[in-house]
Amino acid sequence: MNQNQLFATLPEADPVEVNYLQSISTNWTEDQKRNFMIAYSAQRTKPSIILITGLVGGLLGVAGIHRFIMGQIGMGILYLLTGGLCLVGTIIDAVNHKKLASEYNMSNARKIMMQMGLGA
Amino acid sequence: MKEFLADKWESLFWLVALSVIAFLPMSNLPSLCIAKMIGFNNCMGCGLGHSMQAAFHFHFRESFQIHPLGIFAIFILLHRIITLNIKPKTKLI
Repeated sequence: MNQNQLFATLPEADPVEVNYLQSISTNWTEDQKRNFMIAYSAQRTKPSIILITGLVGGLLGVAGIHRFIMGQIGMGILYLLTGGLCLVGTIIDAVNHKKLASEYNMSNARKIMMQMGLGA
Repeated sequence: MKEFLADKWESLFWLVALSVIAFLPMSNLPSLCIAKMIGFNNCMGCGLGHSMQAAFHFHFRESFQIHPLGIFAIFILLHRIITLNIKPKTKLI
């Protein structure tokens, strides 16, 4: 189906994300889906970006970059000034990077939906 | 249960960490700083645990002296725990 192909083309798309996008877009027109995709993919972050910025940054003494990318400024500052919460935070986030990216992407999807006036 | 854990483990982790820091006397425990274990001498986060423990017991001046960000850390982590547990409904409008 067109819809399945559309969302699955997102780079490093994870099943939870694709599922979510499919469920919110069931009643949209093709045009709406396309416009949504343009806005959504512009703001989307890939799980690998979160992993790399979080882990490599953390190990090099600049922890928290991944949190800044996700708009979590408080957590970012905390990580930056405490060595990633003594590396504990850095490790937790590395293990959790997929869910972190997913969570951020899905909340962006909601925002875009509301901005575009698209109900579910 | 498994799905619940997979979903909530980060917030549970922070909750447990905060509770342990609040209630377990840390003076006798070895350092929990992973960076220290590896060999970095000062990871800029040193003293956070003790500082947070002091803040939990309302010794704010002591907390600030041990590590200036102890109180800030508590707020940020509480905020994170709360944010992780407010799941917005998937159907809007």
